[in-house]
Amino acid sequence: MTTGDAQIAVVLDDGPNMPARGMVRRVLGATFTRTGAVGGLIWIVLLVLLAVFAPLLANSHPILMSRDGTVSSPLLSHLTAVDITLLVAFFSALLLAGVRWLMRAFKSRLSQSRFGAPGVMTWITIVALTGLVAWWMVPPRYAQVLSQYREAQVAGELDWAILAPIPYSPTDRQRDSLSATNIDPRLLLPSPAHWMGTTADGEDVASRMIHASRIALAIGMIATGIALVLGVTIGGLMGYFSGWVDLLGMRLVEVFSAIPVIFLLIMIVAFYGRSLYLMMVILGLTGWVGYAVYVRAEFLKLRNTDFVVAARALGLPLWSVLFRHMLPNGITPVLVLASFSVAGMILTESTLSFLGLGLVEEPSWGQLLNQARSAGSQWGLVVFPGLAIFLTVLAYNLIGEALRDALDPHAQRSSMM
Amino acid sequence: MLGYIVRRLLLMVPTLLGVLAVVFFIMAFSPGGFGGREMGAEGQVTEGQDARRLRKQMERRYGNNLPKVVQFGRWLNQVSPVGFTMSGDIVFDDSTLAEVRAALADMPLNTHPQSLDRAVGVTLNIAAYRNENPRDVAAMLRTQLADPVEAMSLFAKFDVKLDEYVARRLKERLKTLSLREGGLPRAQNELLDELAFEISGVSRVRFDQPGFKWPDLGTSLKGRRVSALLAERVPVTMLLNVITLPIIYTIAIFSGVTAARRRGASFDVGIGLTFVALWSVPVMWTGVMLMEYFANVRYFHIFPAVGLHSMRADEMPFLPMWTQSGFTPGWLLDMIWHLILPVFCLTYGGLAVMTKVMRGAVLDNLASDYIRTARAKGVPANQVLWRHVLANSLLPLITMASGLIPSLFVGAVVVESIFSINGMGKLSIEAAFAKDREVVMATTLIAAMLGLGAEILRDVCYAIADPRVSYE
Amino acid sequence: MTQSTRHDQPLLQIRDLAVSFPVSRESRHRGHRVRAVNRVNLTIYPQQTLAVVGESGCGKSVTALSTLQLIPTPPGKYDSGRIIWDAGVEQSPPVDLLKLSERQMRSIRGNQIAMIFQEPMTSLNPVYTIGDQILEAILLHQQVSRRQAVEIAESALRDVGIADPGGRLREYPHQLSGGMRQRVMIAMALACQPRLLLADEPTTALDVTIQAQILELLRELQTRRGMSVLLITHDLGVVAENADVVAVMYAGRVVEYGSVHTVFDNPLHPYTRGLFTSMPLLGGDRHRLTAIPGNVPDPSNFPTGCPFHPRCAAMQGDAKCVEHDPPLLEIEPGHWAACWHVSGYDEGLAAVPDVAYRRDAATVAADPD
Repeated sequence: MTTGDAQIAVVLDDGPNMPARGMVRRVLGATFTRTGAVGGLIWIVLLVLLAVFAPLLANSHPILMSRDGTVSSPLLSHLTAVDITLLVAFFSALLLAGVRWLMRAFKSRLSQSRFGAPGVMTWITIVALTGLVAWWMVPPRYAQVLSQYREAQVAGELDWAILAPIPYSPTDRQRDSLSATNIDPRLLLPSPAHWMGTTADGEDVASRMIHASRIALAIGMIATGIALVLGVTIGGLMGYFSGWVDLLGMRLVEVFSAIPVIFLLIMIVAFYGRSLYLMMVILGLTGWVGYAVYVRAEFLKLRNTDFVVAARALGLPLWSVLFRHMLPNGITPVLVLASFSVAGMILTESTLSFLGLGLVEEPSWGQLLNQARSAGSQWGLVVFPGLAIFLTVLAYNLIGEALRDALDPHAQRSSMM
Repeated sequence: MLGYIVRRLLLMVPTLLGVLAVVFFIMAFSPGGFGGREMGAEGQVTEGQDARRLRKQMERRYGNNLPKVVQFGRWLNQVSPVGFTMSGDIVFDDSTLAEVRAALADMPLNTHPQSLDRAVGVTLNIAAYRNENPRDVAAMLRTQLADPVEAMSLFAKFDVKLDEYVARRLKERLKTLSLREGGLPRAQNELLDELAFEISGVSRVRFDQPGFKWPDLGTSLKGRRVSALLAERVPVTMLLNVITLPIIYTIAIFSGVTAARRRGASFDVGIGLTFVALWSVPVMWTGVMLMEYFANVRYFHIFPAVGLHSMRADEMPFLPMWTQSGFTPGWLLDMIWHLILPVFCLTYGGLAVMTKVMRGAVLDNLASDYIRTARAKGVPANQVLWRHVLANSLLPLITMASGLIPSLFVGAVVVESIFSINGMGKLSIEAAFAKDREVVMATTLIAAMLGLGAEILRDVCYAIADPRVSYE
Repeated sequence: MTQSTRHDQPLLQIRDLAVSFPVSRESRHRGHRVRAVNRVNLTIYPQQTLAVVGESGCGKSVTALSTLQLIPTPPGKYDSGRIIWDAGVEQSPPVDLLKLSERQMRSIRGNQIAMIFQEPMTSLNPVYTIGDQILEAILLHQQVSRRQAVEIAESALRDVGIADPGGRLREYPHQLSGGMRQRVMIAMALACQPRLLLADEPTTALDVTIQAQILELLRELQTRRGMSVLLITHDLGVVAENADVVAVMYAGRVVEYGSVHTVFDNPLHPYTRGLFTSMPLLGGDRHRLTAIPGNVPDPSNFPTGCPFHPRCAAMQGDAKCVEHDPPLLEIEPGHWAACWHVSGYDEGLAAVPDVAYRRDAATVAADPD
């Protein structure tokens, strides 16, 4: 419970007027006392860990090996820019959270509210810098002979090697398998060697599953982020200015809510090609309507309240009135929407991948499920990707439900959800 | 109420225009453009002169060479029931037709019955396109065709500028043929062939003929009328939805009411958990699992895997019956058997939301003052529930319907693709893959109209169900 | 009093009624129950108006709802008591309403005992017409055809002073004003000629002018039909004008009971006295209204002993008040009170409150209050 609580509180820490802050804190507190929401949070944290440590968990490159007496780590030297950025982001977040906790613990004068925002800013700077540097420094690797280590091991060229728990990269098609062990690596059933079996191309399903958690998380978070920013901005402007801005905005809302999103997505992917980033942007561009409608209604109510009039009378700039004074008072229910929307985005991405409109090279759960249609008796392909999508969507939905119940004073607390 | 419906229908128009514009320009500004694959724009299907010719012909047919806004305008004019007639849609009366036929009847080119038809067709096309008198055009065609090489100027009548290579080749061919003994009819026919090919589907907006007309959804890249395609596909999707909606509502109402009555009991908790879980199960997973385990010879081959009918469905009697050869399930039962898995996939997702809404509404109403009044009157508990509570609890369910219908459409895209059902969802995927502009636009139009129509229907139903709401 | 013998038989006797509810659904209060009504005794005679007075949450409504078994169980629970209903008809002997099955109860509800509620705005089902709702009650209890039922409904509406009853039957509740809706509620309640009307704050939600009209209407109908009324209110003015007998309730207990004159002329209980001093009087000599200090006790944190002692002016640090809950005793003939500090309480009789007094129309008009 405290993790979520702290994070949101951090975001709002800097605000000046905030009766809203206590509200957010209280709602999140009430949310994460529920079994369902806690379960959901645990699953998502697990996914985050899998996503961050994917290259260390499933990789054809040995973690450490010794060839002719020289010890090397092919795994580390083959990390991509994304891998490095994610790892740095994770550990710097841990470090900063640790610092914050220490400051709290020692009740230092800097502690409490003032550390939050600078902390987040520092973190973003670190991640952005690492990303840039990694992008620039780490050369992209196109062709990798992923079976070379196994072949070398069989040939006795290696003194010793420490392999990853799942010693297959997501794109490792085990071309050596047939010649070396006389086993056709395609569509193997789940076994100790391949926990979830292999695909029709001979790739390890478990490895692909782990690496695919990145896409699922990234799509959900980033697309929702884009939708949130767009929706809140458009809805805020509509509500604040009302009049013709509102009129125009509402027509836009109507248009976008009249097009089935999945249909638009299929079309855009078909006409513009497949790309992870494009998909995130499109999902974001089509998902903002709900937020806009909600924030608009909220701002229409707020625009004439005393504290907003006072803020305007003080001559504060528009963005400050909108986002520092009005937004925090209407933001909590948006969290409910966001939670459900992350679930929806993940579902949409896997639907597209399933329909064969997803990513080509990157592993994705939906794409694995699509392969299951022609996988014959390889039940690992049917069960595990579907289960992963289900659990992730369920996790976000449970959190959303709990949030909504926590927000709604009339809600009947029917169960432990 | 009628006035309200008309007003809402009129308000639908700008929204529809917006939707269509968004979709149209997304396609128009894409790197490949429309119909990329068939037209060889990506250079992957065919190359060479024929491909280029085909592409140019397509361009003329769909107006792809025009500015994008003009293209959109043309398309709108084409689908709008009010607008300018397209030259291709102009129909001449029978007497004119007979006159033209008579005027061309004794031409040497009539070696084959179809030759005359084609000549008449070209004549009428020119007349419609140029807005000239068909008789004059027929006379002109007669004189022009006397010299096939000279008659190549006819292409200009359609603003068709032949590819230099094609023009040269045609000219050579016509020259050779007309020099040959008795080659004139063949030369004339070849010219008409060429002309008919180039101008097929080429149409011009006749600004001089405004008025009401039949909306035309155009022709797909594969040459089928889009309206025929839709007439085949839309009913299938509608059937799925029409079956699914009542099932969702029935189950949601019963389980919602029961959960509310036994609030906090194990049934309530159980149904809450089950439905939130069901809500999160991706449709494609269910679909693939059902296909894998219930429609597969390897496990339980209980259900069919493909389509809506068995292969021999057309020969079956409508109802199940016993014949000498044993039991025949019949057409209807066969279809129901095919529908079970797809409908199941479409149903379960909507249940969670609807049940939750129903449960909340029933709980709210059970605690309301008028329920207390009804009980104080001596109304039996069951009657209180099913008469007083239900009537009020249905209101939020009506509101939810307009959100459910688009989501069923999304479900249909996936379900139809898993179970190989030729419905609108599958059509829209196929159309998007083929970059088939006319079909994509038509499916967009239908989907948007269904969505907006559902909203109007919802508001009307709401007004009927709740006497407090009135739109007058 | 010169009524017939049947007239002197009580119509309704509430004896030792106790109803409890769970404090809250939250887990920390699990198992804790609060007595919304604690050993309440009331007696209503035919053609009598018994007014139950008290602040909100004192158990007035729960008492009335219990009479019709309308307390939802669970969460509510009838802990003890009997509610004896004696319609005074040969074929139906006295019954304990709390022991009746749901089925038997349904023939009492709306038929012999009817109830009207505080909120006319929300007490009618918004999706059915007035006609639907009145007819439902009539058709449930009377063996009549639909056509006859419509006539009964129309005459019921006419009785409550609604013009064009035929047209009104086809209207929906939202098309009527608050006062009209309360008239419809009364018509609906009285359509089956009940012997007892439970009126739960029937005028609280209405405008002052409408309030007077509705009360006048009730009084007139009561006289005409000879029915009894259990009038629940927190308005002492309403009590003074309408009631024959008054029961003052506090925290689920009856703390004072007597005929309207006895109680109004000589209020014994400190709470009743507090109520009087907090009431504005037309032409009265008091210029300041005195509020009773403190609040109605919090159900989850109920005081020991006399529930009124934290707010009581008469207590003066008496340990008895904190430790022992005073029972309701008959201090003087026809006047009951529950307070250790009432003079003569020690000699009070442990009799069940029972006052058959009714004032006739003449005294009502001449009433100085």
